Amino acid sequence: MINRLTTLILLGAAAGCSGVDGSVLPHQVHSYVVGIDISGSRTPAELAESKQLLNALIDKLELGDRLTLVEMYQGGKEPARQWSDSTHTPRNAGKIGPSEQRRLEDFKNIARIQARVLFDSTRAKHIQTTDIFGTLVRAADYARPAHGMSRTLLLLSDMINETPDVTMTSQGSIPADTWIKHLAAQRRIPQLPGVCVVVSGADVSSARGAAIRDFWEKYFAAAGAELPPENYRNMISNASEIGCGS
Amino acid sequence: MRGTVEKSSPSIDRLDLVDDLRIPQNGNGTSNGNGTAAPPRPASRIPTDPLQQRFPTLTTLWEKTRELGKGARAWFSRPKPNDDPDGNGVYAITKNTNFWFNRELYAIEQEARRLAAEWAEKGLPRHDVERAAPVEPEQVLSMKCMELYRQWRDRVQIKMQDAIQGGSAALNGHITRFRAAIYGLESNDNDRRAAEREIENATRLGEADKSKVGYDRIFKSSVGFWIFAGILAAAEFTANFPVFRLLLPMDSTLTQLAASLGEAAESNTWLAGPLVVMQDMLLHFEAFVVALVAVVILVLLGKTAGSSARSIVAFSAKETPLAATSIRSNRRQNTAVFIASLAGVSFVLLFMYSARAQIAQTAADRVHADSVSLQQARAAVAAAGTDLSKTAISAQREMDATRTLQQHTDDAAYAITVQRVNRAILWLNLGLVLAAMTLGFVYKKEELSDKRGEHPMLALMRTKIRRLDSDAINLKRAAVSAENAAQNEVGRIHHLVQSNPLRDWRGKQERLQSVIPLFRGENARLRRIDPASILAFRQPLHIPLPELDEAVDLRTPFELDQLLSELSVLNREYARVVGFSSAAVDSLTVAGRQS
Repeated sequence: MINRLTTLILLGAAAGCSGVDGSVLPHQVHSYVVGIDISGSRTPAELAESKQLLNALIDKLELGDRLTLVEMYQGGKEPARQWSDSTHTPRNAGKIGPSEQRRLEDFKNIARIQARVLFDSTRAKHIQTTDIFGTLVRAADYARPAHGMSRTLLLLSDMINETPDVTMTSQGSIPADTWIKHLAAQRRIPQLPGVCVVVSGADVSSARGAAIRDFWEKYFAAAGAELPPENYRNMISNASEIGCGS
Repeated sequence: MRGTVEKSSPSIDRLDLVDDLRIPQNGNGTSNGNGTAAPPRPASRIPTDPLQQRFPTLTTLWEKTRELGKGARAWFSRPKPNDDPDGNGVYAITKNTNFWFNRELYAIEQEARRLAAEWAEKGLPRHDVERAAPVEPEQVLSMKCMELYRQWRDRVQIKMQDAIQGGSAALNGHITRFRAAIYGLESNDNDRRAAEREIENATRLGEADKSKVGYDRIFKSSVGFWIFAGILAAAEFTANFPVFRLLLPMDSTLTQLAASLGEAAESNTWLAGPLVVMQDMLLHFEAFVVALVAVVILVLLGKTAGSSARSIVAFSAKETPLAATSIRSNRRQNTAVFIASLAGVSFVLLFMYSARAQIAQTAADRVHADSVSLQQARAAVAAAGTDLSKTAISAQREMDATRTLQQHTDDAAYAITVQRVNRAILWLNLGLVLAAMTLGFVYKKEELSDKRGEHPMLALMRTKIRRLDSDAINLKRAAVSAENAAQNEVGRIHHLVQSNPLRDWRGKQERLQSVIPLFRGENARLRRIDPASILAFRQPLHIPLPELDEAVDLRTPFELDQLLSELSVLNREYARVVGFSSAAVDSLTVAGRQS
């Protein structure tokens, strides 16, 4: 009986006291799917920049946002590690209670810990392959359309796929448009309609990098995703730039 | 002197003394304590036992044992129905003397037989020789008879005089008891009249006393009372709630919520303080309830103790004796409530004092337990390694444990502070309890006028009168008994004075005169001759025993007239005093019959 009374009074107190916070934030709920590539082709500096950007994104999260961290598929025996979690949407729209604020902070802390685990530099030495296509398939599963939720796919990768099927280590080995059409005809391209794609860590200065960028622009277009040219970058310093800006 | 004791005394210078003088041994002539005593008499003339002469020690032992046995038999034996009762008249006095006379006469007769035998053995006196004077044994026997006759006369006179004097002493004792009973009745009468006056005064006082038995509130405002009571409760609650908050910790969820609410309230500037306090109270609901109950109990007990104290000190049985019974009953009840309230307050304060004294240790233990939990959570995080799901759970647990530890660490610091000012808080609690008692004292009103009864003195006086009446009955009975005994004793004294104890003197003379013929007859019989043939016996021998005046001049005690006068006065006093007592006794008897 006392527990029930306690709960009722706490609820009342929480409801009554939440008003004092003043956190009025009628923002749109986001779902961020982050692909993390720590393959050996990336330098420690690039990994540090990606980690910094991910932490900045975590800091930018709001109540109701969902964050999914997906390790780039390695093509080996070990499955790619994934973690997906979200904070509950506010009980009262536009008002964030203390407990919700605390839960959001806890969520961010846990997300940072998970990011630190995924960016483990010692583990990067053992990764030999990068399966971006497989990662996109899994990302498509996480980024399924939801009502009132914007979806963003952030790829912290150099976008160089290295699997037995497709190896983009040289310009000539980059698949042509017919390959994309062939996959699309066979519906082997993951569907990402309405998903905003942001790439950070790609090579945009070399010819191979340009060819790779062209390939991915066509690929994401075939997937239905939105990849503006300004979202395909080598480095993003401001987390607020993660998005399609429309 | 109404007459001479001896009209003529024979010349006895020719006769020898029969025995030496000794102190009487038969108990009839011992000192009687009133200055008169029987004269010493000759020793017993009964021949002694030869065995006694051979074994004197054994004989003495035997005699003592026999006397002891006689005493024991007399102690357990009852008088036989055909025994002649002694009474307290002349017969009772002379009975033993007559017995003594017979025994002494028997001894003389035995002596006469012995002398006759001795003389007969020698053929004396010669039958053919005529003697001018009595033979020697006859002279001896005559002297002994004369001595016995004189002793019997003196003994009877002395015994009678002793009895008369004893009767006078007994009369004096009866008069003394009679006087004491009369004095007792008079005192009883005075006491009873005093008790009746007390009853009359108490009844008059009860009818006249219409004053109010009760008191009104010193502090009359009900609104003010409740305001002060609320202030006291709020102050007591504020002073003690933190202690209960630390004693009854919340779970981690509530702790985190409390912390979040506290942080959120900080943004409300000057309202942050009360808001934080209110949130704290509501979040620590169990502590809130317990503290509230404890505080309410403290204030209630304090107020009750104060109210009871007002009832105890406000009424006085001496000031309003008519309501004494109600006041005593009221005081008993309020004393019990007062003691119970003080005990309750003491127990609650003692509990809170003890709890505060241990609160720092309790908080420290809690911090220690939280530290262990945090270490375990951190170990779990480390063990999770690169397992993202385990890492998330462990990290959440670690953050919760960290926050709980932080909260409890703050509590521990607060507990140390509370423990340091524990005594000061106790004084504050005592002050607040005293304030509650004062509030209860000044707000109490009570009315006992409708419970007023009769004056308590009435019951006491009624009981006293009943006791006095009972005493009067006993005193009257004692007075009547003493007066009757005194009258009886007076009659006995007159009877003894006017009695003729020596009227049997002729019989005694005849018994004594028979001793000489006994001697002569026995002597002749042993010599187998006729006494008439003995010339010495032809002349009859008459022992010259004097005639006695039967009207013995027994002296009336010189104090008898005074005693009779005093008895007469006491009779009049008794008639005066017994009037009231008799009425009381009669009324008491009637009341007893009716009840």
